[in-house]
Amino acid sequence: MNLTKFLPLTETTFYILLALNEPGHGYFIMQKVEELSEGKVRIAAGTMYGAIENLLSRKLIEPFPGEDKRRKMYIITQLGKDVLRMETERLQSLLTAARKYI
Amino acid sequence: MTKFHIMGDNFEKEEKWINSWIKKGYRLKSASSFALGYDFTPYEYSGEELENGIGTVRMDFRHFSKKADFEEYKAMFEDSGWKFISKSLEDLCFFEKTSRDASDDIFSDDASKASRYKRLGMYYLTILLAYIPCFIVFPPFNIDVILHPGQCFYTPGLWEMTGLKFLEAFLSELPFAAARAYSGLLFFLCFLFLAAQTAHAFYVYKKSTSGSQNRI
Repeated sequence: MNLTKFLPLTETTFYILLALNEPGHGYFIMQKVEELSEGKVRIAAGTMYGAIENLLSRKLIEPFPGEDKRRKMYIITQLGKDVLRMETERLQSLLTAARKYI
Repeated sequence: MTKFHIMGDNFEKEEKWINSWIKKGYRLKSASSFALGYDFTPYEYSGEELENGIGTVRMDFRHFSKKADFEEYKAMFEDSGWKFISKSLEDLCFFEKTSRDASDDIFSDDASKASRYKRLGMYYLTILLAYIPCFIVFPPFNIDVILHPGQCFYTPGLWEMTGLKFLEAFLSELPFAAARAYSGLLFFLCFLFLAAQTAHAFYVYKKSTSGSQNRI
């Protein structure tokens, strides 16, 4: 499958996929993303809910069993991991090229 | 204390109107089913609360087919400092900021904020499509009948009657004749109104997201 159709990822999506390398529910993801981005990316609830719906339908994340019925948990899928890796490599090449001039 | 306000089709303007009352010392208790009446209660926010935006109301438009999904949605808002106030029109949700640390809005990027309009457009479109088969039952309208509604009175010899007898016969048939003459037209006007709302919602959505599409 050609994964390049998923790229480039928005910052929000990139951080969410990163955060879901371990299972978590909506608010947990919001907190983890803020931590991972050192406070630069703060996702609000309305945006978060929509992003989860979107990532689920594209099969980049999947439900993860949990006990709290009101706080459903999710985790990244293998496809999600592959997309994340491709994006990281793409960003890495950009950085390597940029370092020559900046 | 109920205040009436016609929502129109702009979420941002509606939020602004509601929040202007918050500043005047009111709190939104609930919104009525047809988003026309808002129930406010008098409430004294402290200066510090107002500074931090406590009491700010924001709206989202989203359809939930399962109750469990709606519960998950509300929990996400609760956890991040936004209390669910009430629902209106089945899909319109109102939230109130309760925590100082919460964000100023329930959307953190333009794309997700604009997507409300897309969902609103889909809502109107669904109703609009349901109207189409109904045109088989209510054929749009007949100009001749609208201009000369008299022919919709079927009482034999009605127009030859006089005085009280005429009035009695006329009034008793009036609602039926009016329905025969104008219901098709009314139905068609509703259809046009819905079509306009659908187009407007999608238009606003396209306009709001075209900016982000210009990413170079």
